[in-house]
Amino acid sequence: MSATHPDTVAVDTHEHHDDHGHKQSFVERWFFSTNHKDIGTLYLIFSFTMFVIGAAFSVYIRAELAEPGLQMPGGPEFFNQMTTMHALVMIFGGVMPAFVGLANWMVPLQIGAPDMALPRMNNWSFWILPFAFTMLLLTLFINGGAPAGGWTLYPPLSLQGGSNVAFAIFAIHMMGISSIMGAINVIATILNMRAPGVDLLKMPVFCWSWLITAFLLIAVMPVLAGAVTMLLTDKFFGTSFFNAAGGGDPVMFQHIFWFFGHPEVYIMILPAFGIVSEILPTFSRKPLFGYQAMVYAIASIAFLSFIVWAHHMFAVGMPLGGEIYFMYATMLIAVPTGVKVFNWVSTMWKGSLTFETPMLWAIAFVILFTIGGFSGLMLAIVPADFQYHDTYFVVAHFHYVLVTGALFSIIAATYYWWPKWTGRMYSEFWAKFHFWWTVVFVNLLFFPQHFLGLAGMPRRIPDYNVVFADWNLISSIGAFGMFLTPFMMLGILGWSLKKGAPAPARPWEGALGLEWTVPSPAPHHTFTTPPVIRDGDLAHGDITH
Amino acid sequence: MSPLQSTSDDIQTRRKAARRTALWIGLVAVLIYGGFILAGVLAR
Repeated sequence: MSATHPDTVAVDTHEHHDDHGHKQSFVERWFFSTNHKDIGTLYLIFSFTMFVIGAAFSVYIRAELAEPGLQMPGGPEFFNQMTTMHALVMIFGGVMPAFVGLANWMVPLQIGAPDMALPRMNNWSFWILPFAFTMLLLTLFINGGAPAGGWTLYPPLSLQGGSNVAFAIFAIHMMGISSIMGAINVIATILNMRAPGVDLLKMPVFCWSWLITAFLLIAVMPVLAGAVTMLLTDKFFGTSFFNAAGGGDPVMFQHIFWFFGHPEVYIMILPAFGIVSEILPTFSRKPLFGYQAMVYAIASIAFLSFIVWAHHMFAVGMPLGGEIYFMYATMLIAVPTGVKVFNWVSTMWKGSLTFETPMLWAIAFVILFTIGGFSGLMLAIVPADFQYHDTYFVVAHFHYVLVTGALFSIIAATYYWWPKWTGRMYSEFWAKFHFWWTVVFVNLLFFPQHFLGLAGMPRRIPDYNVVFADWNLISSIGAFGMFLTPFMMLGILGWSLKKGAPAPARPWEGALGLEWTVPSPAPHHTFTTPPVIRDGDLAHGDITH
Repeated sequence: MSPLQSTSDDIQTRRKAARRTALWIGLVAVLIYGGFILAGVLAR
């Protein structure tokens, strides 16, 4: 078909190739699909489901913590299971699959590729996940309950569980395999499937952020797999990798875990940087400020993420030189992160701003993620960390990074690309209502946790001193309000699917990039013939900026 | 930049290259996995 906009070039979307001439059954389309858009949709639906389940666990936690004493059924042991499962489900089931879903949908569209490079493996990497999480969640119903030693799985505590250890480790292995296959696909796609004219340094920042994230995944997911394999053999096959009684070293597990764990944090935030770098220029009607600096900053953050892992372990004990090194190396991350925040603000500076829903989420990301970044800097200071370690200050810090950071960017991306996915607009009024509701309750939920942590309230404990009661109640009210938000979003998007106004190919005036040159909804097959591209079609075609 | 056009043969070549890339990266992942466990064994 021909160009959809006067200012874009001809893009062959091959709409007539849909379904290859035969009508796909429901099972064929959704279970055996090799189409990147369908698999992206599956990932996003799966991740939404996991977010709701993980949020339900957090409501249990906050209900228990709403007042001092023990009031919820299950007791402290079940509370520990809930904190562990909440983290595992949110990290591996919610955030990571959501970003993979967005990559599936958008990377081929943004680089002019007909699909992911390895479509069958793409199907496989998705369909592993429901089985992995079914297995993990089923531990809630087995004798001894779910894993309760925290998502970090520190031995010897994590090995004191019953058969849930085997279930959890097998589930983690499956999630790891899924992530590695997803990452391989992203790298192979970006390096080999770009349309002629889409040079690496002309790609959208979202693609760059995902390319770097995929390399991080390849580097660290096998490390996690190795660590939990050793945990498994310690538990069931009599080895002593981490068993001090057998000559092993439990602290070694912590080093290996955090060598995975810290880059994992960036795996969950780099794609968010990419999303925000797409949205801010669109609604500022200006090119992204410092495109190349943004790309190099992402790469720098990824590199630094490998050399700071022991800042999670200051309280474990290590030589003073080690503590000083890890403190300064951690603080160094503030430099490329600062570059990014500066460039986002500069992108908006003197722009022709409008505040549609995706823009609101993106601006909230910049402000609230920066709060999470600042508290991270506080935690990087060794003597201060001795005070903050294992308190609610840490909980507040990483929730500002992961909820108002990663999750906000996922929601922003959904509202931004929804018209492209579905061909429908949503109610701006209700989407903005969703935004403001979330912003109020998320801050009620997490900001008081800074005060609780600074006052010394420990994390992962179901009961607490009465002096912490007021802020805990406020935090719990925030959690109850937040729990309504996924259902609110579901309602808004469900209404849009049925009754939303038809979306044009480019619903946002300032949007640039190949994805906006195809009709809305994006046809089942796009770019089956590589598009003819001019620099003006690309958001970053002119790399002088 | 001048407009460019590629063919479907080109796409097949790209897919072949993509498979090669995937195999190499997969190999690296397996080596890291094996390497960490081996390091644990040798460290004892």
